[in-house]
Amino acid sequence: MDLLRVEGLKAGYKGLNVLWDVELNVRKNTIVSIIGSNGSGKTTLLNAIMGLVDVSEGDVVFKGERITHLKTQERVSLGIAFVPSERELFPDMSVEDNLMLGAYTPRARRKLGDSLKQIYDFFPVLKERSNQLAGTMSGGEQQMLAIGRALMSRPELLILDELSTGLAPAITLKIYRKLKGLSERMTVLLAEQNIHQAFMVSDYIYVLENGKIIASGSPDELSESSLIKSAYLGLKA
Amino acid sequence: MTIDIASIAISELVEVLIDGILFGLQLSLLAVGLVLIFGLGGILNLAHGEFVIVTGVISAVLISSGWNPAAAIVIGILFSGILALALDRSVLRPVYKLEGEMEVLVGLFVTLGLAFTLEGITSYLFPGLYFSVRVPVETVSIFGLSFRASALVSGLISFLSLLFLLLFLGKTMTGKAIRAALQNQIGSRVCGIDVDRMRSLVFFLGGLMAGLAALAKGIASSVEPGSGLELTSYALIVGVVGGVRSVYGAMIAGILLGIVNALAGYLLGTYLTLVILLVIVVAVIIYKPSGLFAGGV
Amino acid sequence: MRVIEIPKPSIIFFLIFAALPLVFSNPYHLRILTIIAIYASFVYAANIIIGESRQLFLCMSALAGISAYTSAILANSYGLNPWVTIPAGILFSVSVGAMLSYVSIVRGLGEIFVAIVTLTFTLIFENVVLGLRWLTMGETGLVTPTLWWPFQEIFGRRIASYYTILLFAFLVSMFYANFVKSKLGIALRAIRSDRISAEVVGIDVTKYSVIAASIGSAILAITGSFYGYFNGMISPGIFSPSMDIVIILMLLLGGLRTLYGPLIGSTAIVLLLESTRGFGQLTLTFLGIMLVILILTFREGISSIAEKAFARITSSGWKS
Ligand SMILES: Nc1ncnc2c1ncn2[C@@H]1O[C@H](COP(=O)(O)OP(=O)(O)O)[C@@H](O)[C@H]1O
Ligand SMILES: [Mg+2]
Repeated sequence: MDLLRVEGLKAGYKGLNVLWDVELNVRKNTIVSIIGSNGSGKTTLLNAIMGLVDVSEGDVVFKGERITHLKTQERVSLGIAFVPSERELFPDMSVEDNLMLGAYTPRARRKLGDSLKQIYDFFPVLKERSNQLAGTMSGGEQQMLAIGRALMSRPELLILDELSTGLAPAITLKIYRKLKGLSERMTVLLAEQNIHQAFMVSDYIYVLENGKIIASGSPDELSESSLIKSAYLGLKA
Repeated sequence: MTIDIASIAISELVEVLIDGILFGLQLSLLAVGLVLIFGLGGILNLAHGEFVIVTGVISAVLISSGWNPAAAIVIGILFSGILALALDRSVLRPVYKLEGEMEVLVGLFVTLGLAFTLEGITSYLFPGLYFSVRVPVETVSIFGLSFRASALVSGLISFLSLLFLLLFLGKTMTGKAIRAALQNQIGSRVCGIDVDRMRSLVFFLGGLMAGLAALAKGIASSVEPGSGLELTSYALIVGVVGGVRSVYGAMIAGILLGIVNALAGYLLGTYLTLVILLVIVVAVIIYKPSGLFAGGV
Repeated sequence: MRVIEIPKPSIIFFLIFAALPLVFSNPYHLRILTIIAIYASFVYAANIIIGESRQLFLCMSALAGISAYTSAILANSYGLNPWVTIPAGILFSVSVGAMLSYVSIVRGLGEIFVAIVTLTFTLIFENVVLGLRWLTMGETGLVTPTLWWPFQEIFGRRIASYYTILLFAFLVSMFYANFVKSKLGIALRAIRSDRISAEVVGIDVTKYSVIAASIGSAILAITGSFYGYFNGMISPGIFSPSMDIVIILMLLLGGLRTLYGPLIGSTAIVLLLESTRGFGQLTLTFLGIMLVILILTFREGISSIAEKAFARITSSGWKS
């Protein structure tokens, strides 16, 4: 079953359309990646799915229901969580307060205590720093906090934008392993410039270029494609 | 003999200081609403002082028509909260659609227009009306120092109101969501927080704080129609010195300026006092536009 | 040498105002006409400071007041001819206006902080005037010495003062028409549309903004002094923050950065204020509601809307 479907999506900013007829499906309990060079529209696509960017045509469908016209916070209540590339934490609040706000929706708030315990088990460093102000933490710690905050809402779909930017490769790898472990209970959609890592963790990959999907397939299928080999994997076709 | 004179001077100084702190708490209470609304609404609300007047007018009218004073004051305070909420939901809606500097400028003029509107209506309908609450005891002496009872009660009410606000913002989920929205609007929306609702809530809270400030001022002195813009400028002074977006900053700045006010009044006389406060504001803006205690909500 | 431009509608407007005393000759009407002329000059000053150079000065009343008080106090205490002390008042106001502008630009204050600083300055002015009772007579107000108006022996003081003030407003209006086309006016337009690029092409933002503020302050100062001598007395109540609001309201109603806006705005609002005098404090409410409506619905003002409508009519006429 498709948990999320994007149908004929056109979206962009004032006077500048960025996405052209984007089609995308995310099956339940899989990890799906969107790859593409800088400026290809990955962030715009994820923001459109979250309702942070205006959609001019097409639809976003979650669990069979059109959510194109819902506000961001309503989408979050339906069970979608988002880790923006800029992380968007609350810098002058403690780590624990940031996490608690992740469970703001009524559905998540009921299980706040359990979720907090799980996140602390998942990222022990957050527990050690629970009283520290979020703004004073290192980039890697902030990224873990952003993921932790998103997980606090107990989402069915977790969307991550450029997880690897600003992180040491070893840490990125660690986080990806953890996400892989979670995918038995959860579906993950991520945007990545770091092709190798995307190939390693994903079940399915979309390639976005100039706001259009130019190829898609499983990592194995894509690594066979000569286009992808030459353009992205740096291999001779 | 000399020791005696010194001790008199010191005890007098302590009285002046405490008087300053009590008045400063009132200033803080007046300013927090303005700062909250600016932080989340992006609107420098020049009608803030009118919320104080409205509570005063409603309470005074209800009391003079035979209501129980406590009930009348509660209604007056709630009314200011609801008025602020109504402004947020009506005339200010189109302002939020604007962006950046334009939003701030248009917001400034719209609230200035609202201030004139309310100032005109209240002074036209209730000329000569004033709201004042009597405290049965005149003076209280503590450790040989004597204080006006009204100043003490007024300071206590301001303190409790500020404490309530701090606890609400610091301990409850809704309060945390308000602070979250103040710090990062995209981050808040991603957490499922409805930023528009938080803004309405902040207007309501700001109105309530102004209403409580009316009570504090009514106990210490009086509240009368026509002085709204003056109250707004006091709130602005405190807000600017504290850092216009910082609630904690406004609280500290209020107390500090209260002390400066009392000391200047004691040493230099009343007229120069306000001039000194105003000069401090200009100096702070020029020296550090973000305010002395900016950062932190 | 550039030719000085004298726009015809402006001349017609002032000719009408010059002829009006023939019809409305009683002192009350003359007073209203004079006040319209005074505010027209004030609004031109605002149009230069707020409109052209985008410095949100909320101290226009104080700048006018400083000059009025300086000149009156000097004339009173040293028995000088007011025409000699008016320049001193202008100098004082211009220095203050230039300093406020210089400091805000050098410190990089945004428009909102310029507004707060200048509003605070207005409150300081008000309180200093109230406090220096021995010099200013405080709240009661200061009786201004008698100013000799040109030709007052022939036409009487009222008429002579009206024509002097009207002539000054006319000159200010001509000045504005030429100002916007001057090197200074063009530089200000460039700064307005994109400050960074203006700086890149070598336009000295600080210099031009301070000059604009100084010119505006000078107009405010001269007009403020005339106001004081015409009125016979000055008080903090006259030069209060609500004067700034009235000026801004006129500017917005007439149209920001337009030539005829100040004339239309000042005429309309002075007449409105006069006709609602009977409502007492409710006048404030009218002003407030107008400000809200104006700022939310048509920020362009009457004069540019009229111009557009006019252009539409003429262009459609052309086609048919
Ligand atoms: N806030 C914005 N306003 C206008 N254009 C934008 C904005 N954000 C991104 N863009 C433009 O949209 C295009 C896609 O950007 P983005 O979605 O951020 O790409 P990616 O995430 O793949 O690097 C780029 O050309 C970029 O310049
Ligand atoms: Mg991106």
